[in-house]
Amino acid sequence: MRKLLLLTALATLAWRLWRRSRDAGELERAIVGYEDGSSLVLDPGTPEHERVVAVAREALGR
Amino acid sequence: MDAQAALDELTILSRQVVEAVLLAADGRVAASTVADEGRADALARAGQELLSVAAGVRAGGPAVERVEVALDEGSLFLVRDAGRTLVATTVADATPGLVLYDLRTALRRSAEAPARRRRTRSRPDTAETAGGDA
Repeated sequence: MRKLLLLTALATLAWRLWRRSRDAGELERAIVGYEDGSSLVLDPGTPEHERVVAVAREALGR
Repeated sequence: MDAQAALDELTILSRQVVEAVLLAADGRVAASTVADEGRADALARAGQELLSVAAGVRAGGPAVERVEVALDEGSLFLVRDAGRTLVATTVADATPGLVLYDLRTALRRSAEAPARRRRTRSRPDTAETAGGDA
């Protein structure tokens, strides 16, 4: 029984951590649109994504 | 409508836009809703940096029309049209479609010529009549 409770607690903790990291990734979204109507989402982890996120974070630090 | 009036109208009509800075084609601040000049310059620099990075993503491709960076504390938007650039910060969880619509509208209106006052015809005969009666 104790092992089952421990396993449940660990699973819950892992799920919460996964949700938090997923939500954080979703909120840091960078999109570029072009004059021809096309657009692209900058992939998290790429230098361009990191750069624009850094610029935005600095600009929003009111 | 001049550029400053367009930005003032933007921040009145949009509850999501917090600050907005309009950049001329040469990159200087043409109008701003920010009272602090240093802050307006900082937003202008941020906009130019966004443009620089975005243009590099598809070097040689079509010109950048918009950049949107959404963070948990708010978003930074940039829209361009005819060489003019509008940079704006928003509240957290802003609705991108609505913000972009408002920014594009403001950018378009900022390019419109100031509205001319309609000239009314003077009616000297009426004035003379009124004066004559008095």
